[in-house]
Amino acid sequence: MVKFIAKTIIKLSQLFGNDGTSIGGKVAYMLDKNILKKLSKNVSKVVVITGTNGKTTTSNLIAACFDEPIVHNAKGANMYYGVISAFIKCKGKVAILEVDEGSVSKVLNDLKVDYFIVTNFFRDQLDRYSEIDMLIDKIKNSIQDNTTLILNANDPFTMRLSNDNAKYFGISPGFEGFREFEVSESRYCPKCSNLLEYNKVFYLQIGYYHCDCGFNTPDINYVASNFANGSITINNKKYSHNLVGNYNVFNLVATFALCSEIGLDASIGFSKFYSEDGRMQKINNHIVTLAKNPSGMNLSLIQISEEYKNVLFTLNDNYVDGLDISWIWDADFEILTNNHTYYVNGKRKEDMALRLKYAGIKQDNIEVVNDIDKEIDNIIKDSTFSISSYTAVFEIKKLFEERVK
Amino acid sequence: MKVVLYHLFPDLLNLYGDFGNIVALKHHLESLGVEVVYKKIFDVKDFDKNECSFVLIGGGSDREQAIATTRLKAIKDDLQTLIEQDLPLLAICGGYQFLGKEYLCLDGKKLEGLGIFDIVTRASSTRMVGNIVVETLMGQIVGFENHSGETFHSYDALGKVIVGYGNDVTSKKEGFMYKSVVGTYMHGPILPKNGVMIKYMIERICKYAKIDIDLSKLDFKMEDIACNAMISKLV
Repeated sequence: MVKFIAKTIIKLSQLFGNDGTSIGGKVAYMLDKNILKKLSKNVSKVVVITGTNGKTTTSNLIAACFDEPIVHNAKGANMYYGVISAFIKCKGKVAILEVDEGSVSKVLNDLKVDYFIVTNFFRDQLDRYSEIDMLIDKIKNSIQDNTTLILNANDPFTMRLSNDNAKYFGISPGFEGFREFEVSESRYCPKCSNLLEYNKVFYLQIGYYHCDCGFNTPDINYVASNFANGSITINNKKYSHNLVGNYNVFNLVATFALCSEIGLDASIGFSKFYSEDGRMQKINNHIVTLAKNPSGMNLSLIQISEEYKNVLFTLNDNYVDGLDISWIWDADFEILTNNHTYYVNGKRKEDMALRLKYAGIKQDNIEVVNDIDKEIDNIIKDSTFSISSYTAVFEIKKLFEERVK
Repeated sequence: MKVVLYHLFPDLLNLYGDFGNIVALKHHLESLGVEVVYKKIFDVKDFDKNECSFVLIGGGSDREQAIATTRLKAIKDDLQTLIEQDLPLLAICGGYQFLGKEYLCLDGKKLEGLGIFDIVTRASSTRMVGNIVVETLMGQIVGFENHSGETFHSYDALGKVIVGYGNDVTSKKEGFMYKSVVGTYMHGPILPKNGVMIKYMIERICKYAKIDIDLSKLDFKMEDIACNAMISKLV
């Protein structure tokens, strides 16, 4: 009955033009506080994906590996109510759920999880999550005894969650394609607080680390050694895929790890999956992507090659973007050159313009967009690389899809 | 004409884009023709009291803050002497808190600070998060605050809070000033878009480094646009 009412509400909400992704879950919860416990009893396998970056792409990649209907929050409604909504809207024996880092402990309270995948932890919207140490401790405390952890071995933050039930994915020491950035997250050992030693840094704290106290990069079960547009090599075997952006190597190898653990063929999902959600999405000769924290921004910035004449930044400070935009100062905009025209857009466009100025971009190369709807046609006359914060990415992607001919 | 900017433990204390403060100082000092050397201090043995013309102490997580405080104890006396000699120092959030004597946790536990100033911080159950506008002697400035500690002292405040919390839930005062030291909860970061604060800091740095220079050439057009855009939204 509760499920029926919630479903109706989702439909009604959609009639009024909302996507209804979390309102149904909220209503269902108000009617029955145990709704998630009850609904999840009907599935036999639950996979939860969390982390700062890559959880949406990874969970969509995993979903693409399944032929059968699954319970999945495809639209990225990844907080508690969004997870309930996924169970209301979808039928299936398997649940593939992307869960916001801040919501993990609440979701895990009500949901028995078989596989728990963690992509990475970077400094993200701290006004929502408080500090990263507290966040990781909270997640660690909510992990259940029988859950198989699938962890990014190259991230010491993620490795703080490690236990005897963990499997590891990562990239090989010789992997090329990342640029080591100036600004670093904490590189101190989570066990003993001494400085972590690195044999190899890929970016920020991601790499091969070791500490005298025994906290080390573990032996990696699923390791990617090469990533190119169109192919990836995992455990010495080559697979094809359709993703752009080197950081996708982690999303692919995480997917591979999960599929191998449950006996699925990941290569089917790899070849089926295209980015259509504004994450390194190709639209003709343009790229539309999302960046919501310094690490994500850095990984996007290194993809801006000379072939893109224009760069469009859209920066908002709505609640889900993070009210605090100070993270733009931690991203390495200094690598940008004056060979592009930079358009700044969004609620915090003035801050974005200032960040570019301080990064050495000449003021003549910075254009402030006052009405994106009117100005987009002019911008996309030339090949454009668009980077948006969370609440802007859907709108910008839609705009590109509508206006690109 | 050369200044040396020290950034203490940027690997531990750089929670809210604190590095932006260095970017802003460097940019504008260089626009005046001053040579700027930026040094990250990872180890107190690299702290040269005869060399530095400015010190930035940022904020970190509790764990990182504790590591930093232990290490800083080794140069506490030097810092104290330099501060009396007018060394410009900017301390943000946790950096501001631990210049003081202690931090009282909610569970009654006491974390020891550096104890350079008679400042006490008490954990509060209110998390003070959001945009903040402060009226200072130099003019209105804007930033973002995110802390649960309430800080108390009887020094001059940096300014009066127009929007937001500041030092604590009730006093409507934000930050503190002593000689050329500024402690503040404002990040965002505080300097890049607040031209008046950049000018204040540069004035202090040049004076300390004995550089006589005309500050009227500082150009804050884009800074003012970004600052005013936020103030007009908030006030």
